Amino acid sequence: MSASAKAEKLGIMPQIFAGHFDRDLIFPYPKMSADEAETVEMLLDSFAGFAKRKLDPVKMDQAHETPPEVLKGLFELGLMGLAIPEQYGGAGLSMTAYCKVMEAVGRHDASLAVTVGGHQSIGMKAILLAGNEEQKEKYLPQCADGRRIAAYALTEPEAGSDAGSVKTRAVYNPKTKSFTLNGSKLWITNGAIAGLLTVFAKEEINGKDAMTAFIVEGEAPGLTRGKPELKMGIRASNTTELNFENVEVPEANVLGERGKGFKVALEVLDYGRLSLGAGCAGGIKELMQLAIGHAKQRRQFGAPISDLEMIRGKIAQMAVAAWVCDSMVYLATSLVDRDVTDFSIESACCKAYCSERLWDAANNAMQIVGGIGYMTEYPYERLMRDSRINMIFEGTNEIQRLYITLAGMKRPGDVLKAIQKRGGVGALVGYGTHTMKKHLSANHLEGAHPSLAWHVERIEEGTKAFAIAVDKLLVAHGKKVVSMGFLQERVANAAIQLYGMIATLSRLDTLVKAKGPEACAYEADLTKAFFAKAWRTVRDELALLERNGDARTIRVAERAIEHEGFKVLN
Amino acid sequence: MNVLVCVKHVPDTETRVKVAADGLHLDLGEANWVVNPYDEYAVEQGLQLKEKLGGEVTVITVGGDDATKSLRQALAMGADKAVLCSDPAFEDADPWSTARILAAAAAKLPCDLILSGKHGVGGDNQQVGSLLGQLMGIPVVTVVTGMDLEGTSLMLKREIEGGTEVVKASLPCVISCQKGLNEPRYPSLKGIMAAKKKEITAWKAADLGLDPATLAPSFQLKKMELPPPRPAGKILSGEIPDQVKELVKLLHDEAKAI
Repeated sequence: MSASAKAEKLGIMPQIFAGHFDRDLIFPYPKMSADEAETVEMLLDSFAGFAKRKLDPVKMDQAHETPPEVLKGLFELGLMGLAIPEQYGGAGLSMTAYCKVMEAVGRHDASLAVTVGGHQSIGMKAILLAGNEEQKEKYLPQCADGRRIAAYALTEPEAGSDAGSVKTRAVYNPKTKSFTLNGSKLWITNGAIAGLLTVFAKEEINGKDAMTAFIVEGEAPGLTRGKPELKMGIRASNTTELNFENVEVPEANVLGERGKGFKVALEVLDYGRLSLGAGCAGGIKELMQLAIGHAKQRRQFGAPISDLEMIRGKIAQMAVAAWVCDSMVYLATSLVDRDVTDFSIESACCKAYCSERLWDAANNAMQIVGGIGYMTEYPYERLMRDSRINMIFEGTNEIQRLYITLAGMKRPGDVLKAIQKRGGVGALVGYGTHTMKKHLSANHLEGAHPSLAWHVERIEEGTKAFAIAVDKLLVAHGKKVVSMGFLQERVANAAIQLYGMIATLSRLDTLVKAKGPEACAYEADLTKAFFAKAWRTVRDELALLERNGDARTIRVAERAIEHEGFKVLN
Repeated sequence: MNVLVCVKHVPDTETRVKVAADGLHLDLGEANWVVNPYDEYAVEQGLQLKEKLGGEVTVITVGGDDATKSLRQALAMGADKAVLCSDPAFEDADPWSTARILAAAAAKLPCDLILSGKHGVGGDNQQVGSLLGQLMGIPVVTVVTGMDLEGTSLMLKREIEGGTEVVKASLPCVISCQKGLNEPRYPSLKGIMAAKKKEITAWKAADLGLDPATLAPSFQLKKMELPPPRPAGKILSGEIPDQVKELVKLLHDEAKAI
């Protein structure tokens, strides 16, 4: 059954936009079954042993390549078929277990995580989500055992963030019952090594252009691959251009419905962003461990620099980031495992937040180790280079913010539209304040441990203010919010913080209930440290929606753009 | 060939060791427990023999319920069956008792060859393999780094001071395995999933016909302590010629190095 055929079940965040708490999804903080946790633990032990013996991230970085025997080893370990159901030769792991593994892989080497993720987080994911039985039986076993490495081919020279504007064409030929593909794809992970490509192309259906997803085999005549791109980071992952010149694709290789390819493309990325977030969480933990190791043995002024407050501040910041990212990611993955169909906002929150915290962590680690970090013989500069891509690929963080806001506002927008239809503009007067306030005041986040009342209050008041603000914006701007970037950024920033608050509260609450408040003092500190900033960020971002310096910001940008640089009076 | 592999569940070597308050035990609360690394060579060797000659690999351990983890690991590598010898009477088993338990169990299992690690890390007694062979009345070859089958005999390489010894042993026999014998495989995800479906047989003292009273340790541990912490280094000062004189004096009188 494809995911789109499941009954719709909303995640936590779409409901937060309407001021609702879905208690059953928030409490308790989910965990893997004991059986699956044991599987993951054993697999990670195997991977650690394999990595120790066979993986050399430094050499791979310098060679701009992952050695074929490493890829072979990954397949042998079973790491390339984690999410493929057992009946098709994979392990059928849950999303949570899958992301735990991806976190460990990302922690060991970001390039490897990109190769592995390119293969199964996105490369073959469309077959799992939208493929029919024949397609699954034919291709998934080959993806699990190493006969075919998969790649996801959406991006084009003219279609980056604006992914809907792909130019690659598919033309159907009724005689041969096949499609002819023409066009080119850019920056495709695993491009040169892929034996299976998920390709998105436009075709004319009933006189209109629509996107369709295809499975293209690597050996298809007319498919050529460019040279591996030389990149700033994740160098050992393979990135190439793909060219399609009259590539014949049988009708049987259409993924899902014709004309519904864009939906498939986006759905795949919803999953990809979660494993990306997990990889970032792993990266933060690795940087933390490296930097702390250094800070404890590096002595200045007669003591280890880990005694110095400005160093400790950075270490604490990394610890809090790891706690929040971890909590956000595994709450979101559990939504998938609990058959939530709409987890795309949580997924976007994880992607944007975790990639930014990883970048902070790389920066903090480099600052802690100082000059050593700048030298290529130490891992810090590589980890910094590797971490940067996460804010760009699988949808830039700007696109994540746009998406969080617009997807989140969609439902409240529909409600408003219905009211408008019923009672005209008059019905809207006071809606944003009166009705919402009344409605929201009754909605509490119940069930948390009494010692966490302060946290619950911050979430309740933040959510209430957030939902009212969303409503007001919709009343004031309607559809225009689609082009209001500052607004989108602020709403999304508040949403991300709220999601982080909910995720960390949920995790802390579950720990406190199991172990008692005293045993969880460290986790409570991590949570409070995050909350202390987060609730203010929510408040400030919402306040800025009404009073801000946007007009000035735009004036400054416009002048700079006009001058194509910096020019002021002498 | 049916191979019996003896494994031990041990704290991994990166564990920071602390002595428990009673001064007689180690506090291993925070330890990460693993299959004894030398036993992994034994499991791997057993699996290679099975792949070449057919038969079954059975892994066996003496330990508590938590030792199941190590058996599971060996099953995930590809072993067919596992036996857990567990009984309150086995808790403080010394090498002699452990060998007696294993010998009693081996008598109930079809085995043409018994493999173990050269020693179990942690206890470091290096006795169980040899005692087991003695109890069973079969040959024992220890610290083996190479193995070839010749008819019904094994040609074995073993490490000795400054060289290698080649030994021929007739089957059945007990072999203790050393690093270099092979490269142990890592359990694949498939192996891990398959291991969940394999059964682990549990045997108590009564199942093995052992009288708990005879399993009491044959020696008594009096005290356990960590080596004393290293004292801080000494930095000499003054004129260089004086420092040299002082250094020589200290090396002679205090460190007694010259």
